[in-house]
Amino acid sequence: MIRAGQRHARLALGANPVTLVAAVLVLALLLVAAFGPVLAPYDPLRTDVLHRLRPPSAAHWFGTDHLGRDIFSRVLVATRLDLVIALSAVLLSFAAGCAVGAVVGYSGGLPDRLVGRLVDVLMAFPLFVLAMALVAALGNEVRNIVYATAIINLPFYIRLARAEINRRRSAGYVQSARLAGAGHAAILVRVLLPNIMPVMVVQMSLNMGWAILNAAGLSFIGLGVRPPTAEWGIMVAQGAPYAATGQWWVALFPGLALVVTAFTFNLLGDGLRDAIDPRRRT
Amino acid sequence: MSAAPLLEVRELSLAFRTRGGTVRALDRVSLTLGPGETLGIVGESGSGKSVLAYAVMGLQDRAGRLTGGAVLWRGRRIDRLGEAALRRLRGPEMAMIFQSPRAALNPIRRIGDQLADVLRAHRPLGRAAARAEAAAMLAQVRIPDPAARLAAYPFELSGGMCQRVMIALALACAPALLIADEPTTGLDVTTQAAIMDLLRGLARGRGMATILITHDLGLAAAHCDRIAVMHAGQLVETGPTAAVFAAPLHPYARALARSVPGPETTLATLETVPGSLPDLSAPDLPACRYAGRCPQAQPRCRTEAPPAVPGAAGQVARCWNPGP
Amino acid sequence: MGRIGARYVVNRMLAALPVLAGVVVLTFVLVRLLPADPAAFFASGPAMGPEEIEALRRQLGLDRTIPEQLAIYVRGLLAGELGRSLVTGQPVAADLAARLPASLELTVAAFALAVAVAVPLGVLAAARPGSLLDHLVRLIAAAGVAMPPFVTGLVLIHLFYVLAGWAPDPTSRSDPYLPSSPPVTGFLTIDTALDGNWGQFRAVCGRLVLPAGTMALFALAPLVRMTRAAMLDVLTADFVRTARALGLSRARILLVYALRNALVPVVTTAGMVLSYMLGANVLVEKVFAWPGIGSYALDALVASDYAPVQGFVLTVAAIFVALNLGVDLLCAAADPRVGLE
Repeated sequence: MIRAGQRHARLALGANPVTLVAAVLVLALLLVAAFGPVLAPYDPLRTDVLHRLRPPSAAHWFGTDHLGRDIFSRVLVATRLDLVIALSAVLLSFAAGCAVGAVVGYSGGLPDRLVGRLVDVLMAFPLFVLAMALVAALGNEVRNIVYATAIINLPFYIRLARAEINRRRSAGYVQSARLAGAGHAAILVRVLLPNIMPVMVVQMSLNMGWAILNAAGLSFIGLGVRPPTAEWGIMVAQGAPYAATGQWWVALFPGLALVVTAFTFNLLGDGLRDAIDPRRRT
Repeated sequence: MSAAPLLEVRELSLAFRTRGGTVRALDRVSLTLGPGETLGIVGESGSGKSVLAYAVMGLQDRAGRLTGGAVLWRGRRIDRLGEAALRRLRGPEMAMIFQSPRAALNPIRRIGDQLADVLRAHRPLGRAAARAEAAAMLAQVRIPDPAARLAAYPFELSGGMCQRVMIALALACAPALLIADEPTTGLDVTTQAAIMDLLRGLARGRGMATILITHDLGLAAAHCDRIAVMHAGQLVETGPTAAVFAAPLHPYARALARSVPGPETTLATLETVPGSLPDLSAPDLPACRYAGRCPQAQPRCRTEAPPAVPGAAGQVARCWNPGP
Repeated sequence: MGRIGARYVVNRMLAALPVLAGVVVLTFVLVRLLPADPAAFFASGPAMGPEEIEALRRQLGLDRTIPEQLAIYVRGLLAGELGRSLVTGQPVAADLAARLPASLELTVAAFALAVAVAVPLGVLAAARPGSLLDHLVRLIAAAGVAMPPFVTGLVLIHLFYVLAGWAPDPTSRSDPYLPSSPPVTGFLTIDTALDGNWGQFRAVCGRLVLPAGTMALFALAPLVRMTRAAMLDVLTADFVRTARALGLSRARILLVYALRNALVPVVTTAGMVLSYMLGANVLVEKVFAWPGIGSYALDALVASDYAPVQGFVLTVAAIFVALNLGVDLLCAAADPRVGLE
């Protein structure tokens, strides 16, 4: 099973050099997230008012912010928090979406219709606004950013899992499992779920970049993460007033970190999707 | 065939570049067609019949490249013409109709507008004139109440009606050649007969040459003056219809002729051609691509291109070992 | 439009009703989840004791059961009642009505800009797959979705205001030193044009460029991606081959045959994009200090003033539902097969 997975991964990555590059970049991001505090040349929280708003230099590659903190160190250190928020949110919606979508998709009938309606309603909210309202309602904390991001993504996972399960419900291998005496739970867990995993995992990697931007957007407007914590969204927010006065580096570098990270995950997701379904290549 | 050829295809080769390698879809295909003549191109699906037709019209898709030979229209080479020059030929000189007529029509455009589009693409017609002509065209393909049908969408018409509309579109600019690519596939039997009668009547009335592409040998035998048999991108035998069906020379043509179900055929006696088409992307295709399926293949069938062997009744086969 | 049956229109409208009801219930639940007891807010003065708070709770209906409260809430909504903002002291409905035109003006301008750029780009890219332009378009589509509007906005400000000096001060909707025009629509571009106030009209348009450009960049990627994909799909269709086989001109094939048929997925995506933009408004309005409903809700959120947030969510969701309805009807107009069922 694992060996097959590895072969699959090699195939997916080998087919498209861009995907390979994206995978390497994602790996690098994960390493930075793990070792950011060690790699950072300065303490990300140490202020130095004498050297505030200095442009990028040899000593401060990305310059310093309005409190004289080293932006390069802060960008590095923030990687962990941003990735953890996005990854937890995506994993949460993945797990909940698979479970709910698979069960209602398999059972059909009233639960399916009810969940379908609920998904419609959730999708009737502009997602970012819904996330905002959710964080406001649940309380202004980091873990609620995770929940809010997970909830607004949930409809997509439920929809996908439902559709994919529905398509396979009467497939030959399901019929044969049923004839072999497997119960509904066994069919769902052992036969159907493993089959929809590739699609769901691709959805997860496609979703990752978006989750990062969404979480950063929430902290940009002052929700969740509080200063002086190093986090890309809040760093952009702190740099925003200086963009109009010429100190571009304060907002630009954390912003770039966001763009590059989101772009990398999107590339990986696109590549993986092409690998499992070449027809949808666009 | 005393008249100068309308269409001449000379040693035409075509290849598709795909991810799985180069598919050599046509291999030195030659044929000629005189004005008013009806030619049937027959063969299994995948034998290159449609590819040949598209290549003649310059309609092959992006992956397809002509790798040799020439296409001549009224003696002039057209295989290297640009899209703009080809566009002037398509419609007034040659036109094409397709299988699955409903899909071949623009689903969200009224058929009157689609007819007017074709007419006005080639002639300086005003809206009203184009409309009148469109209605006349619908009447010619025997669509009842043509003026009212101009406002219909394809999804509001039956498959047979859609094919009539398609024929009207193709004949709108009075082409000298009509290529009909499986025109009756997917239609029910009575509709098939009606469409074929209509096509034949219109072709005779206008002196229009027709190429009928089909895998239905009975259809080809009933409607064509001459037959060309294709196999795996090669033209293996051509000749007058009677000769090709009654005294085929090429082993593949013989096998095909045997596979036509007659009135006394039962499932047990129905013969199909044994084996399957070779992989056209294989680098080691035999010179005669039927060699792998042929019961009387010789070693040189794989290495040397077979010669053109004339038969007694006017048919010509490309084979090293033609049978009676 | 006359082609679409009245029955189809009615059906679509009826289908939107449960969603709208769900939206109302969900907003109500959100409010119930809000951390602060609204009564405690109003009663935050030192003179208020437990009895006064209790009285206020009764007055606000907070002692009733949840279904009763929902009924009261819905009745209020039907009367156009969205509560009162603690920050501005005004009814939320009035505040939103005053600020909605600014948001709409921004969103519509950005959307128009995005569509005007994205659709031709997508069509041209699909017409020549593998060309330089096609690669460029694919790059835009891939990179565009990774660009958060609050970053692009700042980059644009730096480039065009700080460095180039082309753009006016990015913190207001109009030039305070020029006379303003009487509000008619609330859209400053229209109001100044109606008034013949061309100096201010130019100032207003100039100030719209950066925020609208920021939002347009955000919307460009999904639009261009979907236009290209839908066009590529349609261009392989049988009827396009027919059109080529009959010698129709390239422009006619591309625009009348292919694009018209690609319109349904493009319009659907455009509807989704427009609604994303309503959400992204919050971020863009914050970056450019744009006085729309997004920045209004944001200010209220920061001040723990929840009635405006709730009103904002409800307004945007209602616009969204209406928008989806519009998209359905547009699709039916674009494709005669859709309206039949």
